[in-house]
Amino acid sequence: MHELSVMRNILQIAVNFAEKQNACEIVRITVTAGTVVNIVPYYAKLFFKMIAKDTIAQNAALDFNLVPAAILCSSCGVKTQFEVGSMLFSCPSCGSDCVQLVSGRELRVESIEII
Amino acid sequence: MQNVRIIDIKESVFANNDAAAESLRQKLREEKTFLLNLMSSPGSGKTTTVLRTLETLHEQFRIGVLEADIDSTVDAEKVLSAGIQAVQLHTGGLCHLDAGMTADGLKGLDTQNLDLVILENIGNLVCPAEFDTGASKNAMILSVPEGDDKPLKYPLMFSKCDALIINKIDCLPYFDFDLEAVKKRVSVLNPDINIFAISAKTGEGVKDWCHWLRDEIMSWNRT
Repeated sequence: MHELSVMRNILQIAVNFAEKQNACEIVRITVTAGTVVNIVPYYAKLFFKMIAKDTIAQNAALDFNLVPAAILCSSCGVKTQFEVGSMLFSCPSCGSDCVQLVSGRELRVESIEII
Repeated sequence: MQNVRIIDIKESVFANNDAAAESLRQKLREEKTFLLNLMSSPGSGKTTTVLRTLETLHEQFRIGVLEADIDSTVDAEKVLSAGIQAVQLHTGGLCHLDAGMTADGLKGLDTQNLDLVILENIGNLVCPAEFDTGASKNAMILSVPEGDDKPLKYPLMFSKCDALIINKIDCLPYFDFDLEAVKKRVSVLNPDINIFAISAKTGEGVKDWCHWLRDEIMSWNRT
């Protein structure tokens, strides 16, 4: 549901950078998103199309690099990925409870391709 | 054909909001006003918890409440009838508050003469977790009837809060809610979180929660 605010920010960041480069068009925007962040690419793309109309990004492709969520065990040092919804609360490798969420919370505009 | 250039950006999607939040936090720090962002699902007992908190802390602190709600004034009326400054923000269909909206809402309160403002965020465990409101500390409520699996379903919210209030513990005998399992799950997401099991209805555990909040307010307002 918050995809609209997120897409507004993404559009603004991309257009700001593109204008600084005197670009006339943005052809691709690549976004890195952790799976814990709950961005649904289907809606993100839909909202992006709506808000990018009449901007230099209106024809831009929107690519998502999804970063899997993972925990890191501080006992044995093993990093284990998991699906959101079946989160791990102990290390599958050694059984220790001393684990921390170390990836999956990323959300950034990685790069743009401009003409 | 024109050359396509690739520009590396690596900028957080929330950079703008984060900057606005930081400047609001700075302003509140100068005014010695502590802003608590309180988040939860609808029906978790947020307003009742706020009223209990006011009851405990109103003699020591000058308090204001910012109620964010999609479209009603019920919550603000309850707080006003407790004799506390309150402003109701109508967010229309929006699912969260950001720093700009919070700053606007705070204009309706005399923050310079308040020690504590409680922001009752929109009832939702997903979107409010993403947006820094400029609060000094973030807290959330999980109530027993919602189930002990919520940290699995909404990990981001649990990972961003400084305090977790587990409310409605008077209902524990009637639900399959494993309090210890919740504590364990949450500590994986957020090892530094402070957890308080309370019943806003009976008052059980409210003292410990208010004690934590009092210490946080005092250390914020000292610096």
